[in-house]
Amino acid sequence: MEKDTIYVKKITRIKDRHIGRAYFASIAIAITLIAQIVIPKSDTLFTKALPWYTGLLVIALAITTILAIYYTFFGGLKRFVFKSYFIGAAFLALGLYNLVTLKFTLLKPVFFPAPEKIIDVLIGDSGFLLKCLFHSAQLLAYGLGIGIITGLATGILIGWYSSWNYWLEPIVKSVGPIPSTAFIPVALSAFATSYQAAVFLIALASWFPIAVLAQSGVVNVKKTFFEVADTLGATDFQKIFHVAVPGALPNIFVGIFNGTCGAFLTLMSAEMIGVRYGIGWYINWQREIMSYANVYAGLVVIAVSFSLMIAILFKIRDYVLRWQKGIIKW
Amino acid sequence: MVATGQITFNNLRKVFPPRTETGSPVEALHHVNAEVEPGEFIALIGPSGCGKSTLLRLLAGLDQPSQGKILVDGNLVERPSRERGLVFQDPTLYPWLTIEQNVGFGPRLAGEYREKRQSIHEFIELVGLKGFEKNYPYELSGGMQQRVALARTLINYPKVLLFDEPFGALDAFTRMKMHDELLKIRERTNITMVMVTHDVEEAVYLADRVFTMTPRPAILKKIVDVTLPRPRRRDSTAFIKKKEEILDILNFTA
Ligand SMILES: Nc1ncnc2c1ncn2[C@@H]1O[C@H](COP(=O)(O)OP(=O)(O)O)[C@@H](O)[C@H]1O
Ligand SMILES: [Mg+2]
Repeated sequence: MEKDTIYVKKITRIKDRHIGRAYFASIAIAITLIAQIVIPKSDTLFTKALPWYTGLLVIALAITTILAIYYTFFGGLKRFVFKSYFIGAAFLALGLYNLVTLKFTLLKPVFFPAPEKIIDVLIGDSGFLLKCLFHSAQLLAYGLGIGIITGLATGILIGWYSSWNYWLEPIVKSVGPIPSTAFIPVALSAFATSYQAAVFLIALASWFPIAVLAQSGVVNVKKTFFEVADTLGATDFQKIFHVAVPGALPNIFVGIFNGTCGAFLTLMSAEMIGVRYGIGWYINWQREIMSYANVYAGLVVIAVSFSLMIAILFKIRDYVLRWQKGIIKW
Repeated sequence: MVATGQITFNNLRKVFPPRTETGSPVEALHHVNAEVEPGEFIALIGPSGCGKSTLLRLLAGLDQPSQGKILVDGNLVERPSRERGLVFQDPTLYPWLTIEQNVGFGPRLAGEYREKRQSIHEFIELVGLKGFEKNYPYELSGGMQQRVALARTLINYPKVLLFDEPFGALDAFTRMKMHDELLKIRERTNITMVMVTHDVEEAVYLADRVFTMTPRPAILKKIVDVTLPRPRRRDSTAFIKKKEEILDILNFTA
């Protein structure tokens, strides 16, 4: 009797599973792979065939199939099943792009390189791309680091002290909204090197949103929180660091997020106008010499690293703001 | 030990400037004179808007009187101090701190969080929240949060403990339980307590004396001695009589 119920439970559990959804990704990848193998390469292309794209599809197919089979028998893997449609669709889109480029050359091959050529750059030029990436990351870290520190300091000062507010807020409100790229000519002439100019511009771009949001965060901390601190023996200085700043953290994170996006944008512009090395510089340089496969490879590197950075930022925020459970987060 | 927590209200007056340009100033307190003995439990009662919170905030040092002065143990109250703890109607726990850290907030400010670790746990236990040390305020009910707020104040060993309608947001059963816990804490610590309430029963159950207040003019109308023996029974004739006496003063009967 008991065994029966367990058995029935298992059956219904398996029935509950979204088998179709789980396999969607591997089926879509299989279709892309078949198209790649069966359809011959366009005869207007004289470049030699590369194994990368096919290899990528085979690996993706293997992974998704193993996950789907695992899911069929053991369940779990919620995230994979949820994302399965998207993964499949993404590979179908890639397959379509492969058709219009490699297979039928419907788009100008110079500007629209086939996937295998882009992957070829990613692999073949990986050393140099990494060097550029490191260079960009370093520049971003300097600029963003300075931007965060000065932004927080500005925001807290003008949010807390009325005298600082009197002198600084007009400057923040007038200089801040100007896109930092508009300062490129000024920065280039004001600083000794274009690298320093770039650090300044990136810091400027992130400083403003962080300052403004830190200020509004500080100003909007509940008044009674300060009064409680008063009756518990807090000094003015302690009220800043034990009440105002933690209370403003949710806003500060929005500011840091916006600041990071602004900093990234400025980084790319700065690299395209004067700073040597870096991913933005790489893309610009490759565009000038008409190597569009390299341009695309650079874009892939940017997309991956930036979304990784944002993901890490969100993770940090979720950890720091874990006390906010139940409050709607952006 | 010398008994501390003696309070003197001396000709206390508070006028708020008008809220709008055409409005007139609000006299929230019109010359209040009173004395509170060390270790006494005082209830402030009266209809809303009669200046109860104002009086409490002046005593806490959060606002300044327009005239007159408040003395605690002979010292003029000029600013907030950890000697006068205040528990608000909302628990006002810091949401970013755990229960333990909230209770340890005072010690942390004083730079003695480590030394007071043991004490922090004792106070959490005292208010019946052992096991919740690592929880965040959002995980606790209103009543539990209010207990944490109490512990957070108690750990500073204040001479005077002020409450502004602390149990107003709690259900009747939780409130009665809190009353008894508060009386127990008072027995152990002998802190002078001043509680604003709009609940006559609460006032009679807890207080040694009840200050009745009226709006317009915002004065201390009468001080009622509640000389009932403890533990008090809410259903005794003497208790009900006391309630009626106070309601009478506040013009709620006949
Ligand atoms: N900050 C303030 N500014 C102006 N008027 C105030 C302020 N605080 C309180 N009042 C006024 O003072 C009077 C007494 O308020 P309050 O002490 O809060 O009353 P209670 O706590 O007894 O309900 C009310 O009329 C209120 O509107
Ligand atoms: Mg009030």
